[in-house]
Order: sequence, then structure tokens, then C-alpha cells
Amino acid sequence: MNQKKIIIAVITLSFLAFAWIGYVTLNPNQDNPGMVRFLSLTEIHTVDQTERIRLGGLVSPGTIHVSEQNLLECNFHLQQGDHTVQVYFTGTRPDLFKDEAEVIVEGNYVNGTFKADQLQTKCASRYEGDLRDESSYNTESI
Amino acid sequence: MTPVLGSISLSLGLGLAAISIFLFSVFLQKADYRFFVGGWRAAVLVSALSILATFLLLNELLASNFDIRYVAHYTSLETPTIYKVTALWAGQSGSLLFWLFILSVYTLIVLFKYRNSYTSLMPWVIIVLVIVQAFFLILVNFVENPFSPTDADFVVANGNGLNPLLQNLTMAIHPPTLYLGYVGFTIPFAFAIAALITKDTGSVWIRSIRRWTLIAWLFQSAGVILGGWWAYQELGWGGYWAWDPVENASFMPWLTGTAFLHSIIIQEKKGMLKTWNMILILLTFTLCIFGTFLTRSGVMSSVHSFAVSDLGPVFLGFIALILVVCTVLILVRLPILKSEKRIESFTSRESGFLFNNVIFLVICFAVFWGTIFPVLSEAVRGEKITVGAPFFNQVNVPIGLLLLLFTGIGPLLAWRRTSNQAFVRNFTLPILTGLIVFIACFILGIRNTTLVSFPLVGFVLTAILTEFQRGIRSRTSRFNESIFVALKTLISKNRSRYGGYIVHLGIVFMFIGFSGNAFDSELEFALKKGEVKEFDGYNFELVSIQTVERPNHMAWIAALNVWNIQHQLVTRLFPEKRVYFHRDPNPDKRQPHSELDIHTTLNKDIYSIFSGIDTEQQIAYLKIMINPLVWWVWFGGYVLVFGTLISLWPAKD
Amino acid sequence: MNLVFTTAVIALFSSIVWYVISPLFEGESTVPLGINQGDLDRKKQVLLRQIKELEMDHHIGNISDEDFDGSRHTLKQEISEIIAELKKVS
Repeated sequence: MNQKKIIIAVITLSFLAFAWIGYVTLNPNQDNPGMVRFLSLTEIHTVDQTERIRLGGLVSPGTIHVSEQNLLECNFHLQQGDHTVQVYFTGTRPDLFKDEAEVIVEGNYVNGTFKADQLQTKCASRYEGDLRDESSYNTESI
Repeated sequence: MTPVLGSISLSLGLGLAAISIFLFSVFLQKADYRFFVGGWRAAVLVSALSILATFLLLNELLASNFDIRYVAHYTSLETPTIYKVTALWAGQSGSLLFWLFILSVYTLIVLFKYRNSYTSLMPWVIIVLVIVQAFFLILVNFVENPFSPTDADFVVANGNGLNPLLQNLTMAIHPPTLYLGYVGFTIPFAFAIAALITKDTGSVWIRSIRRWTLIAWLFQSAGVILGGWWAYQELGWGGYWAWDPVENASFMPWLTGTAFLHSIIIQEKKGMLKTWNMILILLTFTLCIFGTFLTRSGVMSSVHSFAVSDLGPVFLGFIALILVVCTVLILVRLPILKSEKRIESFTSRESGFLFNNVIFLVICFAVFWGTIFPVLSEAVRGEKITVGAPFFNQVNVPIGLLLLLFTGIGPLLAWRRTSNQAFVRNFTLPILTGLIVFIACFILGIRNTTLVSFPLVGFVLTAILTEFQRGIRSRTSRFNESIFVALKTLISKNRSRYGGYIVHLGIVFMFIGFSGNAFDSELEFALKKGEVKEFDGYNFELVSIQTVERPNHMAWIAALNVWNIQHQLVTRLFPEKRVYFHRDPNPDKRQPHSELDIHTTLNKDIYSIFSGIDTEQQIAYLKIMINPLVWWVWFGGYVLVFGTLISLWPAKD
Repeated sequence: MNLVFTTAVIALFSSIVWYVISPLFEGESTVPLGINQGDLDRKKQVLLRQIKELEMDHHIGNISDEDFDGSRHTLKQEISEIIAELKKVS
């Protein structure tokens, strides 16, 4: 008899666990969501300004401007194929951030510009000694 | 000439793998021992040739033979010798050969150690090992040959060299350690499959593979922790675990491997959970192959990059083959995998282990789900989604805390059924401690997850100490030993069990470290020389900005004094902003790098980053992070390794 | 250079072939007796160790008296079976 109870308990526990995973998947924390949509520059116009999104692209050469009052503030143009968008970012810039670097930004698209609070450059590859062409994210339109 | 020899070795190796499998098949058919010996010898040669090929590649790396594409790509004349060695696993083909190398070393040990044992099992064990070797041999022979010649139409005078940012000790030991873990799980896997095929579910071979599993697990654990250490020390984002696909790839087999390690104890003692164990080792091995593959390519980013990689389809094919064959095998052998006994009560140790398995699998699934979700989402809905740390933390923290709880409960349960008397005797003190810690945290005003984690830590710590106390008391009353002697003998005579409890202790310490995350704080600010910034109870004073020239880089060093509110000097920090190849006329070749400085104490780390400099106005831009309790993560790691070593230490019989 | 190299490779190849094929001409076709003895010995050691652990667990209080008696009896029976088999083999 106990054997059956154990089996039921295991199944219930597993079910609860999967339900929990599903719940978190569908109900992300609003101000720090774990699942963020990764959009292309053609799609950002469709997005609500309260939704956090991610963009990927290249830094257009010559567009990096660092504020003179606060060296932590900067803006630049993010380019994907023929499209660009202006990005404002405040924070420590990663070491590899420069012209034509591949970057990912995360933040909100407000009134035609992108306000980013996260900026990442493509990892200088953990195991590859050099600039091997293994993309760590998909920016196929580049 | 040696590169040709290298290629030949690899081809011969593959051929001999086929021959070995053939000879063993004949032995299994005809029971003619001569074919066993022939197959065994062929298997030895497969490993020997693989090892030879690896040393040949190493030789080419050290000799800087740039006629070989691999050497030209990953080393240069200026590369320090040790990093010429580590270049062996820096690139894709080299790391595949390295995987093969480690597997060959392990296989040779298995071949010789069990040469005259387990006659029914060994043919199948060797066949499985040789098949896995054959897979990697196929890869290095036909897909990515490390000995391929350079494809330039000019003589390559100097190679690309290794990125100096990758030239630090952790990068040198982290990959091999992790590989020793990944590859190590192949051995228990081979034994498990052999046992399934030969219908041997006895407990003797289980004891052997427990040691192998523990060794693989040791390296896997060390590898995962080293990865976190490296991220914390070098990458400069202030954390040690970001739940990115590569990290997850190494963590998943660790989860199922840990479950397996625990679960086979039950099979050994009670002949139960046999099916579970087969599933767990199958999953562990598959996840190891999956993890190796994932680490080598950015596959989880998108379906697109997956299809483009050469290795993708081959690896996936191999994984599919393993899963299909093993699942069929398990299904066919289900009758003999039936438990010899039944679980009789919820309060039994057996049921504790069962729930333990479930929790580990759930966490593994959660991590797997989050890791492949982007690919799934793109394939199914056409929508690209990235899954970040917040998702994983939200899902895994509660389940992790549940796991912590079970770590404490498990050892206190009795076999078959814990009587009420035993329950009270074992659980009172731990529960009491948990409650006291909870009340203390509540009174102190803590209202985040640590309100749950700290009491749990108290509970589990007391539970583990209770276990030691019970064991010691059993010895002092039976053999009249003093407490100290009893403790020593207890551990030395039951290394597996008490070594395991020490490992648990290490895990608890690590959870203390993890709990610290709830209190992290950070601030970015600018300072001129002489200025002071107050943050989180400290005053940061920029004393000076120095400039320094070093062999391959230049550095700006921000000298910081850190004062506390009593105006005592807590520490001096010297974060650096470096530029590598600063003399290179091509500005694109100059690489900036922030070298952080961390002040570590038992209760917090003060983490400083020199983010930027305004050279004209001599302003330093700094980022300071206060990370409480991080020290406990590394300390817990050491305790974990120590406990595992005790478990592994051979007992003189 | 090439001749030396080719000779070396042929030598390597031949020794490999000989090493693998030779048991077919020189070896025994039955499994040596010693192997089984080794396996039995190992099994006996494992069982003895299991009994010791059982005793400790019982004394600590992790196993009930009846469970302990039952398990110990089973283990002791297994050991005597092995000892009998060992006598047969030697």
C-alpha cells in the first residue's frame, strides 16, 4: 500500500515542480524579466515602451560619443544591415566596446531612441585564442 | 613528418577500434578466450595511438611548427611555453583530440586494472569505451583534423598567438579539470551498459564504479567551481554565475551525476532504484557529450548557427544514437531492474534518496529548459527570446533550498522506517537551531530569501554535526575510545560515508555564500585625486593615478584608500585599467582590459573596478561592489574537495 | 628521409598486426581459472565490508533490530556460498 502512496507522492512532486517552472516561464518578474525578447531593428517600432527588449548589432563607426560631464554616459548608433538606432547607455563600458564591435544591449525603446541599461560585447571567446567566427548570438542580418 | 605520423596514428586508431569491436564480438559468440585477448590488445592500441597523436600535436605546438594550421592559429613565437601547452585544448580540433586523450588514459587504466576481472562484463565495457573513442576518432579524422596543414599560400612566419587576456592560470586549469570530469563519467556509463546487456545487477561492480563516478564527480565539481572563480576574478561583472549556456552545460551533468552518486548507494545496499540509476547515468553521460559540444560552439544562441556548424549534426546524431539504444536497452531489461525491496515509509532513508533523485532531476530539467528555450522559441514560434539569470534564479532558488533541506533530513532518517522515538532523538536539535536562527533573522529585520536560507543552513549544519556525534558516541561506547580518537577512526574506517558528510558541510558553506547575493550592492562614480566617496559604510579615497609600463601592456593604477566609519584604514585597493599592445600602430589591435582588485574578508568582498579614465582632467571612473559572504563559496568548495578526497582515499584492508 | 620514414611506418604497422593477431595462434581458448577466483575474492571483500557497515549502522540506530538480523543473516549466507565456491575453484 505504501508503495502506491510513494509513487503518487513522487508524481505529485514532479507535477508541482513542472507547474512551477511553467509558471515562472509565463509570469516573468516585470522589472527584471528572465525572458527577454530579442528583436531586430525592423521590429522595435512595434514594441511598447515599457517592455524590456534586447537588440544586437554593430557599433556604427565614429558614432560613439562620451558625455563630457559624466564619462559613464555615452551614446552611439547601433547598426543592423541598413537600419540603425541611437542608443543611450549609462554605466561601465566593456573593454571591447569600440567602433564596429558586436554588441548586445538590453533596455527600453522610448520615443525613437533606445535607453539601455545593459551593454555587452561579444565575449572575446573563452577557449578560442583568437577571433574565430563563432557567433554567440544571432545577428544574421549583419 | 611528425604531423603525418599524427594523422596516421589517428587513422590507425580508428581502424583498430573497429577491429577490437569485431574481435570482442567473436569472443562473445564463441567464448574463445583468444579473441578476448586479441580484442583487448586492439583496444590498448587504440588508446596508445590516440595518446601518441596527442603528444605529437603537443610537440608541434612546442616547436612552433606553423605549417600546421592549428599551431599557427593558437600560438606564436612569443607565446609563453605554458600557454603553448594549454593551446592543446584552446581550439576545436585540439580539444576534441584532448577529450580523446583523456578518455584513452582512463580506458588504459580500466583495461589493465580489470584485465583479469569481471569476465562477463569487461567485453561490453571495452566495446562501449572503444565506440566512444571511435566517435571522437571519426571527428578528428574526417571533420576537424588537428594536423591539417596551414591553408595559406605563403610561408607562415609567425602564428596568431593566444589572446593575452586568456593567458592566466585559471584558464589553464579550468578546461582540463572540467574535461577530466566530463570524460570520467564515460567509465561508469560503460559499466552500467555492460551490466544491462549481461543482465548483471549485482552489487560488486557498483562498488567499483562508485569510485570512478566519485573521481569524475570530483573533477566536474572542481571544474564548475573554478569556472565561477574565473568569472568572478577576471570577467569583472561582480558575480560568479550567470547561468549562461556554457555554464549550464557543465552544471547539468553535475546535477544528474550527484543524484546518481547518491542513488547507487541504495542499489548497493538494498537492491533498489536500479531503473533510476540506469536512467541517471545515461542522462549524465549524454549531458556530458552535450555539454562538450555546447561549450565548443555557440549553438544555443540560435538554430541558424547550429545548422552552420560542422559538428552540430554529428554530435546530435551521436547523442540521438546513445539515447535510442540505451532507452531500448533499459525497456527490454526492465524486468530484471525491478527493486528487490519496496519502500515502506515516507520517513525512510530510501524514500529520502528517492525524493533526492526527483529534486536533482527537476533542477536539471529547469536548467535545461531555460537553456534550450531560445532555440525552441525560435524554431516553434519564430520569436527570438533570450533567457537570463533572473529566470534561472527565480526557478532554482526555491528548489535549491528544498534540496538543502533534504541534505539535512536524509542522513537523519533510518532505513525502512524512522520510529517516532528516533525522529525526536535525531531531529529535535536541528529543528530547534533552525527556529532560533529564523527568529534571530526576523528580529534583525531580514525580509528577503535569507530569512529562509539562513535557518535552513542552521538546520542542516546541526543535522550534519548530529551525524558525527552519533557516530562518535557509537565508538566511544563500544570501544571506549576518547572523542578525538573516535572521530579519527570513525572517519578513517568509514571514509565513504563521513567523507560524504564533509562534502555536505562544504555544500552548506557554499549556500551560506550564495545567500550573500541577497545583500549585494554596487555604485559607479567618478573621483579626482584626493576626493572621497562614501558608500555602504565605507569611504573611498582616490590617492593617486599612476601610469606603469609593462612588457606587453601599459596600465593606469588607481590607488584607493578604503576607510570605515571609525576612520580606520580597512584596506588599500589598486584596480588597474590596462591596454595591451598599446604600442601597436594599429589602434584596433590595442586591447583595453580592467584588472580588478578585491579585498576579501569572511563576511564580505570589496570589489573594485577601474572602469575608465579621463586623462586630461585626471578623473578616475570607478565601480565598487560590496559582495557579502563570497568567501564562503570558495571555502565551501575547498571543503567539498577535501571531503571527496577523504571518500576516495583507499582503505588498507 | 622518406625511406626511413616509410620503413618506420611499415614496422609500426606490422608490429601492431602481430600484436593483435598473435593470441589467435598462441593463446588458450578457455578463460583462465584465476580470473574467476579474483572475482569471487572481490565479492567476499565487498560482503564483509557491508556487514561491518551494517553493524555500525545498527549501533548508531539507523536500522531496526529485526532489519539488522535479517540483513546480516542474508549477507552471511552469501559469504558462505562464496567460500564454498572458492574451495571448488582452488
